Amino acid sequence: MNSSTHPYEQEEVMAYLDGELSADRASGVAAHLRECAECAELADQMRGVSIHLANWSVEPTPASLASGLEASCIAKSGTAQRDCCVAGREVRAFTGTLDIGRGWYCRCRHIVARRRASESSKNTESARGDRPEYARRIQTIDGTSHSGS
Amino acid sequence: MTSDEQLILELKQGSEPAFTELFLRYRDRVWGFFRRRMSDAAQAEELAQETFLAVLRGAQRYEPRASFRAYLFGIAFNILAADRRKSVSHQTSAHVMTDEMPATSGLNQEAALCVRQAVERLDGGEREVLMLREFEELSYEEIAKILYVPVNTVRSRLFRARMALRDILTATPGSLGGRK
Repeated sequence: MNSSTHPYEQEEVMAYLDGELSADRASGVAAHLRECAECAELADQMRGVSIHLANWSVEPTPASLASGLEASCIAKSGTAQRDCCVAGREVRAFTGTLDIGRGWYCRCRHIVARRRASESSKNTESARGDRPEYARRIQTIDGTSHSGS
Repeated sequence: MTSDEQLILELKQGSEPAFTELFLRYRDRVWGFFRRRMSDAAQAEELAQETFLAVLRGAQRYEPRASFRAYLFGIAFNILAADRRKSVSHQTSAHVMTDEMPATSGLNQEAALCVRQAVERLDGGEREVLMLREFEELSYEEIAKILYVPVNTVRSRLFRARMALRDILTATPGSLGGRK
């Protein structure tokens, strides 16, 4: 397949299938695919790859994702000096409709205690500022600030 | 139905149901994002939680420059990258594309395993582009922004990945009908 026999590159055929071409260019590729068996086969192979990839499913999302999110909110909300239950109620305002079920409080307390212990350990190892590690990390992650690192 | 972009703007204004709705819309996709890339389910779940937490905490600073989906998976990708760096520094390898692969699910587990192993054999850069396109359904431009590469690079990597995958699957009995 070359440019002397095919007016469109193979990558362009792929981009057409992905909906990434301009309308003009897309109509040109579409017309070419109707006339060129070789490019039509390439397009079929591309579609076949996508169909095969769709077979790669994963396990269902764990139900604990919601409750864990709530616990994470509490653990990372900078409430180390506050009572877990108070912080939990605040954060639960955001996650209250996630149907997390009972027992969240105990789970939260356990995770908070674990993370507090972990943070306490880190803080004694390195004095890298007042903000906890999660705060620096999240600010870096969402790209809004890098000043904390 | 309210758009994702409208919901994140509502969340920015403090709307509680907006976050819930975004979580419900994207929890499966975010879980899939991490699970396909990590062998440790518990770690994948933790990073998925961290992603939503970052959305929640970053909502006040959100600017509608791109689709919410691109914004969300950009955060997820950065969290994944940070975790990979941490894992490398701790000399652990709990991630996908190692000997220990994540579990598959679905009716045809054999087919899923075949695809997973084929993807594992791709070049790292090409594999990531392919997965962001096929599973996260991001545009070339959105992928380019997440990976900090030109759009043309995304296109060429994606093409090479698909062709390599075609060749690998063609060599596998019963895949792609033997066409090449």
